[in-house]
Amino acid sequence: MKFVNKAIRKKDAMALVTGKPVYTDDIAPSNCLIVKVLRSPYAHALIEEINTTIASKVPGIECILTYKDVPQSRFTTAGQTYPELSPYDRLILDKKIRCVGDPVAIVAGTDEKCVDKALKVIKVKYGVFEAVLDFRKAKDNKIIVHQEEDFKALVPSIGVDAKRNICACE
Amino acid sequence: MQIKLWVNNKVFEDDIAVDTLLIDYLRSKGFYSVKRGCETANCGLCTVHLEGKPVLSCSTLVMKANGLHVTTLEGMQEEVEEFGTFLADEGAEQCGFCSPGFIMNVLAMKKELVNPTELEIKQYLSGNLCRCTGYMGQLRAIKKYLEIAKED
Repeated sequence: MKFVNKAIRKKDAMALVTGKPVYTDDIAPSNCLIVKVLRSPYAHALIEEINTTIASKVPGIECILTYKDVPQSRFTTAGQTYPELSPYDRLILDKKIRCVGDPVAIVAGTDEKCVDKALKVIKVKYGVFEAVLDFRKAKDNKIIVHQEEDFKALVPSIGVDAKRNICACE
Repeated sequence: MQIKLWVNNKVFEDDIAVDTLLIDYLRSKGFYSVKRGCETANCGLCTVHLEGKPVLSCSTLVMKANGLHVTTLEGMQEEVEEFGTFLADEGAEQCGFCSPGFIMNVLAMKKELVNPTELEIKQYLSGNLCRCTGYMGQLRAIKKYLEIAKED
């Protein structure tokens, strides 16, 4: 009963409250590249064309990735143990855009200024579609959010049905 | 442009780009207690003192500090440790990322307000956000800290 009903100060408490460099950005080497993501302004779209030629010529840019460069195996961003209940419905970068802010391109460069500049000159042609904006109207909507054929749920008994916009149900 | 300023009473002279933010300048000099939270002057995490007054270093240009004295958490370690123990003992530093900016404002408040009421404390610190807690631990810590400070 040494610890029951007694407050115990966290082991890292004093390092945190005295502002010691204990976070990732505090210990990142100074020559790290800066990485930023270009995000979609549309809630439902398809990337018809994406041109990074001019952007990659911005001095300092080291790498630009688009949906053409990423593995084509879908995963889930939820983090429970295997078998994960959430559907495997994401790619790192997808040709299909499903919400405002979905990632469109990933840019790495030597400093923030050149990365910001490159983000501005990536040319994207979107095919814009009508979006489902109200989750109460999502079920059995004519707009289907996940149409991809390789959409996969490891545990089908959670009631997933992509064709009806249902992620899980009783 | 050429600038000269004091950080924690140590002089720095540099040739800087005119759009350099104080937060980036301070972190580039190794003052890592200065945290970048929202970058939009809303969260208070980047708070430092400019001539003793709290400012948001994410929305202050270094050139504004030209010829002036900047204080970061590193420069007030004794007071910081004193208040920090109250914060820690109330479990108010969960991830701890907001603690440095919060402490800078608490220490400024202590200098500025005499026997503040709970409302005055809340008003003074309304610009300091914390995404882990519900602020009750911080409030308990401040009250206990000010109580003790009063007795000295």
